[in-house]
Amino acid sequence: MKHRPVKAAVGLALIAGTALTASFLSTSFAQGLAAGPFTAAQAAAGKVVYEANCAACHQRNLSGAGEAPPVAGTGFIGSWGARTTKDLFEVLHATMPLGAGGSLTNDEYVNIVAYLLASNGAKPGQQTLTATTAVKIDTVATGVVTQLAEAPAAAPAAAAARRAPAQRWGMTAAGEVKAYTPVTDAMLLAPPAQDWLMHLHDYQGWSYSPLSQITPKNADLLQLKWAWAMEEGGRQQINPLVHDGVMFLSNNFNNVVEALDAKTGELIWQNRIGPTSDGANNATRTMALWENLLIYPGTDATLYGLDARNGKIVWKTKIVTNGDRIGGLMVVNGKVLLGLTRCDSRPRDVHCFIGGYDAKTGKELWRFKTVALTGQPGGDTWNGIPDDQRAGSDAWISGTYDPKLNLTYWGTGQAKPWLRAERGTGAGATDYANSTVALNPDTGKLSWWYNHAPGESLDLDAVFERTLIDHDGRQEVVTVDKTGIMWKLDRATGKYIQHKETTFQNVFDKLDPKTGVPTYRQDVLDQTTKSLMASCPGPQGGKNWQSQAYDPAADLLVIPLAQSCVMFGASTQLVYEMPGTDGNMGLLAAYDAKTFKPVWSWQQRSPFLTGVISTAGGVSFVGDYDRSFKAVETRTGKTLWEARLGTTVQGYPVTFSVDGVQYVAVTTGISAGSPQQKPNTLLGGEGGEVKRPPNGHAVYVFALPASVR
Amino acid sequence: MIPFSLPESRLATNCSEHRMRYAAPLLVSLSLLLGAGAAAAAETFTVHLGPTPINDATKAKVRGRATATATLTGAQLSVAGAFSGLASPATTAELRAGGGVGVPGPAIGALTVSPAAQGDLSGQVKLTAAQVKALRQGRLYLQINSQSAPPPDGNLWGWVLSPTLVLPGTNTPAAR
Repeated sequence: MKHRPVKAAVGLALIAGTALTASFLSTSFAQGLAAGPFTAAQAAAGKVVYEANCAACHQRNLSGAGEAPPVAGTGFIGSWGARTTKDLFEVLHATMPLGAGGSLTNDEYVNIVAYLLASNGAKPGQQTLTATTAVKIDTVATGVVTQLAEAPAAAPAAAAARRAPAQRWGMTAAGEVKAYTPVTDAMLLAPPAQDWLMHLHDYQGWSYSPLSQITPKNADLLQLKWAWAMEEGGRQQINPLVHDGVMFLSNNFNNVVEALDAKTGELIWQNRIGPTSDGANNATRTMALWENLLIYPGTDATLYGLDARNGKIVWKTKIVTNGDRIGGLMVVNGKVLLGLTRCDSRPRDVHCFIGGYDAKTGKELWRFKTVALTGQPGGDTWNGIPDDQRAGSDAWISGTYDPKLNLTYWGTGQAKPWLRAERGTGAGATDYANSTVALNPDTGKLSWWYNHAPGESLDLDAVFERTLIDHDGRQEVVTVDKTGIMWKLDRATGKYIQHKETTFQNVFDKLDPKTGVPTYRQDVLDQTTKSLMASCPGPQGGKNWQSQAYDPAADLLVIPLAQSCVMFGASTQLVYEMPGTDGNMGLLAAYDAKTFKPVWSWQQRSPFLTGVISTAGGVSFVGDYDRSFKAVETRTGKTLWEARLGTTVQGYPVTFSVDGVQYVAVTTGISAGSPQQKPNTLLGGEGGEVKRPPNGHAVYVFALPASVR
Repeated sequence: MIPFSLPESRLATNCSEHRMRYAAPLLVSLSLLLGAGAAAAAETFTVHLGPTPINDATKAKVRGRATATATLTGAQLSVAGAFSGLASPATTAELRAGGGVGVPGPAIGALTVSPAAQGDLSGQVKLTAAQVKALRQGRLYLQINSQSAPPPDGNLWGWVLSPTLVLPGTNTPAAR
């Protein structure tokens, strides 16, 4: 659920409640249970409040999406059946909308409870539900999803309109980049030292810049050169791109894309593409540059080719219309490769996919479905459930690319729903979910796949960046997943080479040292929709989207890791400290990339919320939840410099140079999934030890003073 | 630069703490060598307790921290520690055993706590051979219960981890 204003929603609820009462009375409810302790009018009013405040994350059909759990069905009743309506009210009141608990009126929360009961098969009656009504939920609700009458279509739109001031759309700042050099395929293969042309800098996914002006000897002198406030709202995690001294930024709340002079911070152009997002639960992390185009993934799954010189739309392509979103994005061989994400709901007519699009026109060229369907290789790993029930396997992080093998490497998320007991896949591996897939970027043809967590059940994605490294002539691909396990595969064949546990995990009892195939803890396999399961790490992940950096000179991987656990259920997550950490949620660790031997590590109370970047100067950069942006010596981990920014440092740092000066830029952002939600619970919030303002999206740019360059 | 299995500080750790961490076991070892033979058999475990699983609705009443030392002599596990910052007075405390590190389970022994929001934790529990094995595997944990966070879920918990227990995924210092 998300924060919404209150008073207008109350009015809508009261009006709609009256109008919809008749619809509720005619809905077919489960037989045999006592009438619920709520009235049809309350449920109708609750539907309106839900649509305005909760549906963006939990979906209008209550199925949940991404990290927002389902609030109807077997998962919900499994988690909540044994608890009372009062418990549900209190949790909603304290925690929802996410980050704004208590922002609705008591009546609104009560009405949402009534709506959830009705949507789970409870029958309305004559009793009026109150905040103190305590009726055991499974005595009145079955978990059989009951679709209630549609709320007025205007409700969500009205809510969206309320959360942001009226805005102009279109080219709100016109300008032209002077002497812009087209970004060629050759430049993408060998990025100029002064630029940051793509997500994670290069096709290998190294997040490594050859710039070397900033060193361990002078990093403590870094100074702020300029900052730029970004739009508030949404999950601000964008990876800025820099080319020819121009920085490209975007915001995923209302799709504002802009170009700034990377030296001075002067705005060059701004295109407020819109629309305002109907849901802030998906982050836009990546854009791409190719020729004169800036490729931008709109939050409404529209892919844009903007003229990078002036921001004008050259082409646009609607990728899907079913509510799924665009995840990772890159350009290879003149083709935009993108991954689809938020493929949660069932039944599915469109499965998650990685697609290829002509970068000149946006025309679709191919799709590779990331779910193995009946008759395909791996199609027999879904326990025989119908193809339209095979959900998830989201490609929400950009791939990497090996031009010699002409293969692109992508990770995929877990199958949905999370719990295997709920999704019906039994002991099936659910290929190609939680896998590395290697595709031909020209055709989308699958070369190989490797499933890192067959049959995963605890929201432990294996989707994150695939880093391409060579050792002694061997072509390797390295990734770290949410279990904190670092994997190395032969990227020509997909054959397992080795793994290393970088954080504590208790989900797997063991991993086969020859194949990497894990054996789950028995109680994980036995989990039902009604039970809570200890999971270390939890959905925050030992590793999440915050990317690792590879330093080729030191042959080191520097990895931002997190340490927390959860008691995990179908609709419930309770977070706790990871054993052995004394509550330190952040762990920065470096590993020898060849041997996977640990080289250095240190931990701190706050987790890291940015990727790490490394530089030829021997300095790496990372930012954290508690507003700290740090420079560390890559070879030793020693902290060299630290700056306290306006709010949580979140996104992907970049470094670039203009007129011979090396700059380092990083963004701040205050909304995200588990990587922010879990520390919010353990460290932040009202009365918490970490205090931060509820706004402050911005980009900050640092450089050395002229005297020491 | 610290070994993962020996975290001591709530804040960023540093090299001096690291040196202290290695100095402490050395001093303990030295004292053991100089002490009685019986003392040499004792194993010492450090326990850091934090809040039991919470969400935003419960965290206000499930808070606080504790540190304890557990000493195994023969089959006897002695616990001594201190807690603070609870939202309500402590009521009881227990030694518990789970199916794995970080996995909760049933109580296997009672401990004593000060009936206050801050105070002491102490007690002795005689372990079976299986429980001693579980202890060395890191599957035992301490739990403090309070008025606002009663058992079975409790208020604070912390796993009893041996300094010599290298959990999967631990980082060991390495020179380079």
